[in-house]
Amino acid sequence: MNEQHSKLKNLFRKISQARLTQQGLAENVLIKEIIDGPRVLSHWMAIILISGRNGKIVFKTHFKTRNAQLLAAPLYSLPPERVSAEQAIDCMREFCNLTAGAIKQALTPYLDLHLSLPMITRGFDEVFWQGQVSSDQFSDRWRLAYRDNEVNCSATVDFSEPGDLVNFEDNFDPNSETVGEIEFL
Amino acid sequence: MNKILIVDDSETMRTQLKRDLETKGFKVVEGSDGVHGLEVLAAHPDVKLVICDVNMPRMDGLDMAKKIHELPVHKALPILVMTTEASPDLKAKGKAAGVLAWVTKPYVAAKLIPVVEKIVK
Repeated sequence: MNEQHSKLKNLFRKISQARLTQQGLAENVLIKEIIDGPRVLSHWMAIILISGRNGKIVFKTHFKTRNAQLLAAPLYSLPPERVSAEQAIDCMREFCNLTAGAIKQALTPYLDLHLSLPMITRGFDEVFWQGQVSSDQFSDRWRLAYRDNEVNCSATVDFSEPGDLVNFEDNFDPNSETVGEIEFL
Repeated sequence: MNKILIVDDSETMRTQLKRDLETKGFKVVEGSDGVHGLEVLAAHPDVKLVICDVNMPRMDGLDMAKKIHELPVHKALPILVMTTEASPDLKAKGKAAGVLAWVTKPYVAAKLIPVVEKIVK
């Protein structure tokens, strides 16, 4: 893994941690390694594509309905078991969307990128991604853990012109982020 | 009671925002995408402010804003966009569609609510 890849990997992990902290109203969200885990990480998968002229990033979250219910419960002001599967999955889809939006924003000075709508599919569909990562791409998998909940995340990066990112600096700082700022147009 | 239309394809986001607005005394109606937002607005012409996402199925928030302002009755209806997107190009499109203000998600209620109160009241 080269220096750019390491910076991107660190960026993705920090952003997902920050968004889970904000969205899940969680404290002490820890980033843990997934070492030699199974290819299919969980029952459900939320996917979003960040793409442009020079390449693409696929960000995914892998989770069980129970993980999503635990994440959604404080947002719906309900006990986890009373959060419906639809509400829970929508919450995880929005986490995927918020994380990808911040990734796109962090890379905007270097790349012209666009964001897809997030989608939910079966975790088993991960097998269809097998073999799509070549040596000039990289992928990363990590786990976000807090209280009694955890969310698995993964990202696959593929830029045809990685030189665009040669000046990339990871300036993302969750403590000085200007989230929620309102700009009058 | 001032009525606000929230248009977002995420039920989670609508629920959070609705709760924050209702706590401050606003009445809230909801749409799940641009097409649904226009339908809900037609049924609630007394809406004082629209808060909408950009990336949504069927019709995005900027197209919806443009269509709202094409309606004579809603020509001056304030529209606040709330989205993960923050590119200058998209904001320029928003301005052209008559969007009043832009909030980058995740929103912070303590910042958003005073602005909403100022716009509506």
